[in-house]
Amino acid sequence: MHRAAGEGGVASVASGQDQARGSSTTRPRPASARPLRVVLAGEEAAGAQTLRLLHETGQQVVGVLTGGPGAERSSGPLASLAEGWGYRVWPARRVREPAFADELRSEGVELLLNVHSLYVVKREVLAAPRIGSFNVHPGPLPEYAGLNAPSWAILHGERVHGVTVHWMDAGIDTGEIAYEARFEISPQDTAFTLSAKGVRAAMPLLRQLLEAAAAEPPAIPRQKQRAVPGRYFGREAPNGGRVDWAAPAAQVERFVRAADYWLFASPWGAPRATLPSVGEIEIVKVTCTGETAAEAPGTIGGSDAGGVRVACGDEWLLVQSVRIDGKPSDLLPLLGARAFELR
Amino acid sequence: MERLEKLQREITTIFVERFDTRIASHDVDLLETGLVDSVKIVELVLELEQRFGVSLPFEELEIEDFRTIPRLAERIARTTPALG
Repeated sequence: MHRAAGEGGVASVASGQDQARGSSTTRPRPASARPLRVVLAGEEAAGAQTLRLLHETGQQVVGVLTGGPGAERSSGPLASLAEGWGYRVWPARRVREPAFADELRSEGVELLLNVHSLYVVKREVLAAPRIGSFNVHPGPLPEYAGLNAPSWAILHGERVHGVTVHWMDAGIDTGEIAYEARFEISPQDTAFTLSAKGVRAAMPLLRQLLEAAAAEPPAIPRQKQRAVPGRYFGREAPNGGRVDWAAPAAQVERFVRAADYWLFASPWGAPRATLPSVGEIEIVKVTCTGETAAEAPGTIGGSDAGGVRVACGDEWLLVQSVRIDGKPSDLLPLLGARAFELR
Repeated sequence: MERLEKLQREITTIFVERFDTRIASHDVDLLETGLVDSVKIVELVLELEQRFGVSLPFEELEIEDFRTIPRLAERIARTTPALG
Protein backbone atom coordinates (compact mmCIF):
# COMPACT_ATOMS: atom_id res chain seq x y z
CA MET A 1 0.00 0.00 0.00
CA HIS A 2 1.17 3.51 -0.56
CA ARG A 3 -0.10 6.78 0.48
CA ALA A 4 0.09 9.91 -1.35
CA ALA A 5 1.76 12.77 -5.28
CA GLY A 6 2.46 13.43 -9.03
CA GLU A 7 2.61 14.80 -12.55
CA GLY A 8 3.62 13.26 -15.91
CA GLY A 9 6.56 11.89 -17.87
CA VAL A 10 8.50 8.80 -18.85
CA ALA A 11 9.00 5.77 -16.67
CA SER A 12 12.05 3.62 -16.43
CA VAL A 13 10.89 0.03 -16.41
CA ALA A 14 13.17 -2.77 -15.33
CA SER A 15 11.55 -6.06 -16.18
CA GLY A 16 12.44 -9.71 -15.86
CA GLN A 17 13.95 -11.67 -13.04
CA ASP A 18 17.52 -10.64 -13.71
CA GLN A 19 16.80 -7.00 -13.18
CA ALA A 20 14.90 -7.83 -10.05
CA ARG A 21 17.74 -9.69 -8.42
CA GLY A 22 20.71 -8.71 -6.39
CA SER A 23 21.32 -7.30 -2.98
CA SER A 24 22.11 -3.67 -3.30
CA THR A 25 23.62 -2.91 0.02
CA THR A 26 27.32 -3.01 -0.54
CA ARG A 27 27.98 -1.31 -3.84
CA PRO A 28 29.67 1.95 -2.95
CA ARG A 29 28.09 5.24 -3.81
CA PRO A 30 29.57 6.64 -6.99
CA ALA A 31 32.30 9.11 -6.12
CA SER A 32 30.53 11.86 -8.01
CA ALA A 33 27.20 11.42 -6.21
CA ARG A 34 26.49 13.70 -3.31
CA PRO A 35 24.77 12.36 -0.19
CA LEU A 36 21.07 13.04 0.00
CA ARG A 37 19.12 14.10 3.07
CA VAL A 38 16.56 11.33 3.43
CA VAL A 39 13.76 10.40 5.81
CA LEU A 40 12.60 6.80 5.77
CA ALA A 41 9.14 5.70 6.86
CA GLY A 42 9.45 1.95 6.86
CA GLU A 43 8.48 -1.43 8.23
CA GLU A 44 9.35 -5.08 7.70
CA ALA A 45 12.25 -6.52 5.76
CA ALA A 46 11.86 -4.01 2.94
CA GLY A 47 12.23 -1.14 5.40
CA ALA A 48 15.31 -2.69 6.96
CA GLN A 49 16.92 -3.35 3.57
CA THR A 50 16.19 0.22 2.51
CA LEU A 51 17.84 1.60 5.63
CA ARG A 52 20.91 -0.57 4.94
CA LEU A 53 21.00 0.77 1.40
CA LEU A 54 20.83 4.36 2.64
CA HIS A 55 23.47 3.74 5.30
CA GLU A 56 25.88 1.85 3.12
CA THR A 57 25.64 4.30 0.23
CA GLY A 58 26.48 7.15 2.60
CA GLN A 59 23.19 9.04 2.48
CA GLN A 60 22.39 11.48 5.28
CA VAL A 61 19.55 9.74 7.06
CA VAL A 62 17.74 12.54 8.87
CA GLY A 63 15.42 10.16 10.68
CA VAL A 64 13.47 6.93 10.55
CA LEU A 65 9.74 6.66 11.14
CA THR A 66 8.63 3.23 12.23
CA GLY A 67 6.24 1.40 14.56
CA GLY A 68 2.88 -0.11 13.84
CA PRO A 69 -0.46 1.69 13.84
CA GLY A 70 -1.26 3.17 17.22
CA ALA A 71 2.25 2.69 18.54
CA GLU A 72 3.27 5.55 20.78
CA ARG A 73 6.90 4.54 20.61
CA SER A 74 8.95 3.20 17.78
CA SER A 75 10.03 -0.37 18.23
CA GLY A 76 10.90 -3.40 16.19
CA PRO A 77 13.77 -4.48 13.99
CA LEU A 78 13.95 -1.29 11.96
CA ALA A 79 14.01 0.93 15.05
CA SER A 80 16.80 -1.20 16.53
CA LEU A 81 18.80 -1.03 13.32
CA ALA A 82 18.37 2.75 13.08
CA GLU A 83 19.28 3.35 16.71
CA GLY A 84 22.33 1.14 16.32
CA TRP A 85 23.59 3.45 13.63
CA GLY A 86 22.74 6.54 15.66
CA TYR A 87 19.83 7.74 13.55
CA ARG A 88 16.88 9.53 15.04
CA VAL A 89 13.79 7.36 15.30
CA TRP A 90 10.27 8.77 15.35
CA PRO A 91 6.89 7.05 15.77
CA ALA A 92 5.50 6.31 12.32
CA ARG A 93 2.27 8.12 13.11
CA ARG A 94 4.09 11.46 12.84
CA VAL A 95 3.49 11.37 9.07
CA ARG A 96 -0.14 12.13 10.00
CA GLU A 97 0.87 15.45 11.60
CA PRO A 98 0.79 18.40 9.17
CA ALA A 99 3.27 20.20 11.45
CA PHE A 100 5.81 17.47 10.75
CA ALA A 101 6.20 19.05 7.30
CA ASP A 102 7.79 22.13 8.91
CA GLU A 103 10.29 19.88 10.63
CA LEU A 104 11.22 18.17 7.36
CA ARG A 105 11.68 21.53 5.63
CA SER A 106 13.80 22.95 8.44
CA GLU A 107 15.98 19.83 8.27
CA GLY A 108 16.44 20.30 4.55
CA VAL A 109 15.01 16.87 3.75
CA GLU A 110 15.23 16.06 0.07
CA LEU A 111 13.58 12.64 -0.11
CA LEU A 112 10.89 10.89 1.87
CA LEU A 113 10.86 7.16 1.26
CA ASN A 114 7.77 5.25 2.33
CA VAL A 115 8.56 1.55 2.43
CA HIS A 116 5.73 -0.69 3.61
CA SER A 117 4.63 1.79 6.26
CA LEU A 118 0.90 1.53 6.84
CA TYR A 119 0.13 5.17 7.58
CA VAL A 120 -1.47 7.45 5.03
CA VAL A 121 0.93 10.38 4.81
CA LYS A 122 -0.56 13.87 5.14
CA ARG A 123 -0.46 15.93 1.97
CA GLU A 124 1.57 18.66 3.71
CA VAL A 125 4.20 16.12 4.72
CA LEU A 126 4.37 14.68 1.21
CA ALA A 127 5.07 18.10 -0.24
CA ALA A 128 7.81 18.99 2.22
CA PRO A 129 10.87 17.14 0.83
CA ARG A 130 12.73 19.25 -1.73
CA ILE A 131 12.91 16.53 -4.39
CA GLY A 132 9.89 14.43 -3.55
CA SER A 133 8.18 11.64 -1.67
CA PHE A 134 8.24 8.09 -3.00
CA ASN A 135 6.44 4.91 -2.06
CA VAL A 136 7.69 1.36 -2.56
CA HIS A 137 4.62 -0.74 -3.34
CA PRO A 138 4.94 -4.56 -3.26
CA GLY A 139 2.91 -5.10 -6.40
CA PRO A 140 2.32 -3.92 -9.96
CA LEU A 141 0.24 -0.77 -10.36
CA PRO A 142 -2.51 0.00 -11.04
CA GLU A 143 -3.51 -3.68 -10.98
CA TYR A 144 -2.64 -4.44 -7.37
CA ALA A 145 -3.07 -1.32 -5.27
CA GLY A 146 -3.74 -1.59 -1.57
CA LEU A 147 -2.78 -4.20 0.97
CA ASN A 148 -1.31 -7.71 0.74
CA ALA A 149 -0.64 -7.51 -3.00
CA PRO A 150 1.55 -10.67 -3.08
CA SER A 151 -1.23 -12.71 -1.47
CA TRP A 152 -3.87 -11.47 -3.90
CA ALA A 153 -1.59 -12.12 -6.88
CA ILE A 154 -1.06 -15.74 -5.82
CA LEU A 155 -4.75 -16.22 -5.13
CA HIS A 156 -5.61 -14.94 -8.62
CA GLY A 157 -3.18 -17.34 -10.24
CA GLU A 158 -0.96 -14.63 -11.69
CA ARG A 159 2.27 -15.80 -13.32
CA VAL A 160 4.10 -12.50 -12.94
CA HIS A 161 4.27 -10.07 -10.05
CA GLY A 162 6.10 -6.82 -9.55
CA VAL A 163 7.26 -4.02 -7.35
CA THR A 164 6.71 -0.34 -8.02
CA VAL A 165 8.47 2.82 -6.86
CA HIS A 166 6.13 5.71 -7.42
CA TRP A 167 5.74 9.37 -6.61
CA MET A 168 3.28 9.79 -3.80
CA ASP A 169 0.14 11.87 -4.26
CA ALA A 170 -3.01 12.39 -2.25
CA GLY A 171 -4.43 9.02 -3.29
CA ILE A 172 -3.35 5.57 -2.16
CA ASP A 173 -0.98 3.89 -4.61
CA THR A 174 -2.12 6.26 -7.35
CA GLY A 175 0.98 8.41 -7.97
CA GLU A 176 3.09 8.45 -11.10
CA ILE A 177 5.48 5.56 -11.54
CA ALA A 178 9.20 6.24 -11.32
CA TYR A 179 10.60 2.71 -11.51
CA GLU A 180 9.12 -0.78 -11.62
CA ALA A 181 10.31 -4.35 -11.93
CA ARG A 182 8.62 -7.62 -12.76
CA PHE A 183 9.45 -11.17 -11.68
CA GLU A 184 7.92 -14.60 -12.04
CA ILE A 185 5.57 -16.23 -9.59
CA SER A 186 6.44 -19.90 -9.34
CA PRO A 187 3.89 -22.61 -8.52
CA GLN A 188 5.71 -23.05 -5.20
CA ASP A 189 5.63 -19.42 -4.16
CA THR A 190 3.89 -18.52 -0.94
CA ALA A 191 2.94 -15.07 0.25
CA PHE A 192 6.15 -14.98 2.23
CA THR A 193 8.49 -16.04 -0.57
CA LEU A 194 6.81 -13.73 -3.07
CA SER A 195 7.04 -10.83 -0.63
CA ALA A 196 10.72 -11.62 -0.18
CA LYS A 197 11.23 -11.62 -3.94
CA GLY A 198 9.67 -8.17 -3.97
CA VAL A 199 12.13 -6.91 -1.39
CA ARG A 200 15.01 -8.21 -3.51
CA ALA A 201 13.58 -6.56 -6.63
CA ALA A 202 12.93 -3.23 -4.92
CA MET A 203 16.49 -2.51 -3.86
CA PRO A 204 17.97 -1.91 -7.34
CA LEU A 205 15.03 0.39 -8.06
CA LEU A 206 15.73 2.43 -4.96
CA ARG A 207 19.39 2.59 -5.91
CA GLN A 208 18.35 3.99 -9.30
CA LEU A 209 16.17 6.54 -7.55
CA LEU A 210 18.97 7.64 -5.22
CA GLU A 211 21.43 7.98 -8.08
CA ALA A 212 19.01 10.00 -10.19
CA ALA A 213 18.01 12.18 -7.24
CA ALA A 214 21.64 12.96 -6.47
CA ALA A 215 22.64 13.63 -10.06
CA GLU A 216 19.66 15.22 -11.75
CA PRO A 217 16.31 15.20 -9.92
CA PRO A 218 14.26 16.29 -12.96
CA ALA A 219 15.44 13.09 -14.65
CA ILE A 220 13.55 10.91 -12.17
CA PRO A 221 10.88 9.29 -14.34
CA ARG A 222 7.23 10.22 -13.96
CA GLN A 223 4.84 7.99 -15.82
CA LYS A 224 1.12 8.19 -15.22
CA GLN A 225 -0.36 4.90 -14.24
CA ARG A 226 -2.04 3.09 -17.11
CA ALA A 227 -5.67 3.90 -17.68
CA VAL A 228 -6.79 0.32 -17.12
CA PRO A 229 -9.22 -0.50 -14.36
CA GLY A 230 -7.12 -0.60 -11.24
CA ARG A 231 -7.98 -2.71 -8.25
CA TYR A 232 -7.65 -1.72 -4.63
CA PHE A 233 -7.38 -4.53 -2.12
CA GLY A 234 -8.26 -4.01 1.51
CA ARG A 235 -7.25 -5.68 4.71
CA GLU A 236 -9.82 -8.48 4.74
CA ALA A 237 -8.97 -12.02 3.69
CA PRO A 238 -11.11 -13.50 0.91
CA ASN A 239 -14.17 -15.52 1.94
CA GLY A 240 -13.70 -14.34 5.51
CA GLY A 241 -10.51 -16.39 5.71
CA ARG A 242 -12.41 -19.67 5.32
CA VAL A 243 -11.70 -22.45 2.85
CA ASP A 244 -14.44 -22.82 0.25
CA TRP A 245 -14.41 -26.54 -0.47
CA ALA A 246 -16.88 -26.03 -3.31
CA ALA A 247 -14.28 -24.02 -5.21
CA PRO A 248 -11.91 -25.71 -7.68
CA ALA A 249 -9.03 -27.52 -5.95
CA ALA A 250 -6.45 -25.30 -7.65
CA GLN A 251 -8.14 -22.22 -6.20
CA VAL A 252 -8.12 -23.67 -2.69
CA GLU A 253 -4.45 -24.57 -3.12
CA ARG A 254 -3.64 -21.00 -4.19
CA PHE A 255 -5.58 -19.63 -1.23
CA VAL A 256 -3.50 -21.71 1.18
CA ARG A 257 -0.23 -20.53 -0.42
CA ALA A 258 -1.51 -16.96 -0.52
CA ALA A 259 -1.95 -17.00 3.24
CA ASP A 260 1.32 -18.82 3.99
CA TYR A 261 4.00 -16.79 5.80
CA TRP A 262 5.91 -19.81 7.11
CA LEU A 263 6.17 -19.54 10.89
CA PHE A 264 5.43 -15.85 10.86
CA ALA A 265 2.18 -14.02 11.31
CA SER A 266 0.11 -13.93 8.16
CA PRO A 267 -2.04 -10.82 7.62
CA TRP A 268 -4.83 -13.14 6.47
CA GLY A 269 -4.28 -15.69 9.19
CA ALA A 270 -4.29 -19.36 8.18
CA PRO A 271 -7.23 -20.55 6.06
CA ARG A 272 -9.86 -22.01 8.38
CA ALA A 273 -12.24 -24.93 7.97
CA THR A 274 -14.61 -26.67 10.37
CA LEU A 275 -14.88 -30.35 11.19
CA PRO A 276 -18.15 -31.16 13.04
CA SER A 277 -16.43 -33.35 15.64
CA VAL A 278 -13.36 -31.19 16.17
CA GLY A 279 -14.24 -27.59 15.51
CA GLU A 280 -12.08 -25.15 13.66
CA ILE A 281 -8.93 -26.31 11.90
CA GLU A 282 -6.27 -24.24 10.17
CA ILE A 283 -5.22 -25.59 6.80
CA VAL A 284 -1.47 -25.06 6.44
CA LYS A 285 -0.33 -27.05 3.41
CA VAL A 286 -2.17 -28.74 0.57
CA THR A 287 -1.37 -30.20 -2.84
CA CYS A 288 -3.56 -30.71 -5.87
CA THR A 289 -3.99 -34.34 -6.94
CA GLY A 290 -5.47 -33.73 -10.38
CA GLU A 291 -7.97 -36.52 -9.70
CA THR A 292 -11.62 -35.85 -10.33
CA ALA A 293 -13.82 -35.95 -7.24
CA ALA A 294 -17.40 -37.11 -7.67
CA GLU A 295 -18.21 -36.75 -3.97
CA ALA A 296 -19.72 -33.66 -2.39
CA PRO A 297 -17.28 -30.81 -1.67
CA GLY A 298 -15.74 -31.16 1.77
CA THR A 299 -15.98 -34.96 1.79
CA ILE A 300 -12.95 -36.63 3.39
CA GLY A 301 -11.71 -39.47 1.24
CA GLY A 302 -9.08 -41.16 3.36
CA SER A 303 -5.33 -40.90 3.67
CA ASP A 304 -2.98 -40.99 0.74
CA ALA A 305 0.72 -40.26 0.21
CA GLY A 306 1.40 -38.14 3.25
CA GLY A 307 -1.95 -36.43 3.40
CA VAL A 308 -5.70 -36.72 3.63
CA ARG A 309 -7.84 -36.37 0.54
CA VAL A 310 -10.64 -33.82 0.64
CA ALA A 311 -13.10 -33.28 -2.19
CA CYS A 312 -13.24 -29.84 -3.73
CA GLY A 313 -15.61 -28.56 -6.38
CA ASP A 314 -13.82 -30.45 -9.11
CA GLU A 315 -10.94 -32.57 -7.80
CA TRP A 316 -9.49 -34.16 -4.70
CA LEU A 317 -7.10 -32.02 -2.73
CA LEU A 318 -4.42 -33.54 -0.50
CA VAL A 319 -4.34 -31.83 2.90
CA GLN A 320 -0.82 -32.33 4.26
CA SER A 321 -0.48 -30.07 7.27
CA VAL A 322 -2.96 -28.57 9.70
CA ARG A 323 -3.06 -26.71 13.01
CA ILE A 324 -5.62 -27.11 15.75
CA ASP A 325 -5.86 -24.51 18.52
CA GLY A 326 -2.90 -22.77 16.91
CA LYS A 327 -0.59 -25.79 17.25
CA PRO A 328 0.64 -28.22 14.61
CA SER A 329 -1.47 -31.37 14.63
CA ASP A 330 -1.34 -34.74 12.94
CA LEU A 331 -4.07 -35.54 10.45
CA LEU A 332 -5.92 -38.14 12.52
CA PRO A 333 -8.79 -35.79 13.42
CA LEU A 334 -9.57 -35.51 9.72
CA LEU A 335 -9.66 -39.28 9.27
CA GLY A 336 -12.17 -39.55 12.10
CA ALA A 337 -14.66 -37.35 10.29
CA ARG A 338 -16.78 -37.79 7.19
CA ALA A 339 -16.66 -34.29 5.80
CA PHE A 340 -15.80 -30.67 6.48
CA GLU A 341 -18.70 -28.34 7.01
CA LEU A 342 -19.67 -26.24 4.05
CA ARG A 343 -20.40 -22.60 4.78
CA MET B 1 33.57 -31.53 6.60
CA GLU B 2 36.23 -28.93 7.14
CA ARG B 3 34.62 -26.75 4.50
CA LEU B 4 31.21 -27.16 6.14
CA GLU B 5 32.67 -25.97 9.43
CA LYS B 6 34.21 -23.01 7.66
CA LEU B 7 30.82 -22.20 6.22
CA GLN B 8 29.26 -22.37 9.69
CA ARG B 9 31.88 -19.95 10.99
CA GLU B 10 31.17 -17.54 8.17
CA ILE B 11 27.42 -17.66 8.78
CA THR B 12 28.03 -17.06 12.47
CA THR B 13 30.10 -14.04 11.50
CA ILE B 14 27.22 -12.72 9.40
CA PHE B 15 25.01 -12.79 12.48
CA VAL B 16 27.57 -10.77 14.41
CA GLU B 17 28.28 -8.26 11.67
CA ARG B 18 24.80 -7.95 10.23
CA PHE B 19 22.53 -8.42 13.20
CA ASP B 20 24.85 -7.67 16.11
CA THR B 21 23.94 -11.12 17.43
CA ARG B 22 26.33 -13.71 18.80
CA ILE B 23 24.99 -17.26 18.41
CA ALA B 24 26.00 -19.14 21.57
CA SER B 25 26.21 -22.59 20.01
CA HIS B 26 25.32 -24.51 16.91
CA ASP B 27 22.44 -26.13 18.77
CA VAL B 28 20.59 -22.87 19.18
CA ASP B 29 17.21 -22.98 17.48
CA LEU B 30 17.27 -19.73 15.53
CA LEU B 31 13.53 -19.76 14.91
CA GLU B 32 12.24 -20.69 18.35
CA THR B 33 14.51 -18.16 20.01
CA GLY B 34 13.42 -15.45 17.60
CA LEU B 35 16.98 -14.82 16.46
CA VAL B 36 15.68 -15.24 12.94
CA ASP B 37 12.39 -13.52 12.31
CA SER B 38 10.50 -12.58 9.18
CA VAL B 39 12.68 -9.49 8.68
CA LYS B 40 16.03 -11.11 9.33
CA ILE B 41 15.29 -14.16 7.23
CA VAL B 42 15.00 -12.01 4.11
CA GLU B 43 18.08 -10.00 5.00
CA LEU B 44 19.98 -13.18 5.72
CA VAL B 45 19.16 -14.74 2.36
CA LEU B 46 20.21 -11.61 0.48
CA GLU B 47 23.43 -11.40 2.47
CA LEU B 48 24.21 -15.10 1.91
CA GLU B 49 23.66 -14.69 -1.81
CA GLN B 50 25.95 -11.74 -1.95
CA ARG B 51 28.68 -13.10 0.28
CA PHE B 52 28.85 -16.55 -1.26
CA GLY B 53 27.88 -15.61 -4.79
CA VAL B 54 25.04 -18.11 -4.87
CA SER B 55 21.43 -18.02 -5.90
CA LEU B 56 18.91 -18.95 -3.22
CA PRO B 57 15.45 -18.75 -4.76
CA PHE B 58 13.06 -18.02 -1.93
CA GLU B 59 10.45 -20.47 -3.18
CA GLU B 60 12.99 -23.32 -3.03
CA LEU B 61 13.95 -22.66 0.58
CA GLU B 62 12.31 -24.45 3.49
CA ILE B 63 11.74 -22.85 6.85
CA GLU B 64 13.70 -25.75 8.40
CA ASP B 65 16.78 -24.61 6.47
CA PHE B 66 16.93 -21.73 8.95
CA ARG B 67 16.51 -23.78 12.11
CA THR B 68 20.21 -23.87 13.13
CA ILE B 69 23.55 -22.66 11.85
CA PRO B 70 24.60 -26.18 10.73
CA ARG B 71 21.35 -26.64 8.77
CA LEU B 72 21.85 -23.30 7.10
CA ALA B 73 25.42 -24.22 6.26
CA GLU B 74 24.27 -27.50 4.75
CA ARG B 75 21.73 -25.65 2.64
CA ILE B 76 24.37 -23.28 1.31
CA ALA B 77 26.74 -26.18 0.74
CA ARG B 78 24.14 -27.95 -1.40
CA THR B 79 23.96 -24.84 -3.54
CA THR B 80 27.72 -24.43 -3.69
CA PRO B 81 29.43 -27.83 -3.72
CA ALA B 82 32.85 -26.22 -3.70
CA LEU B 83 32.08 -24.69 -0.32
CA GLY B 84 30.68 -27.85 1.21
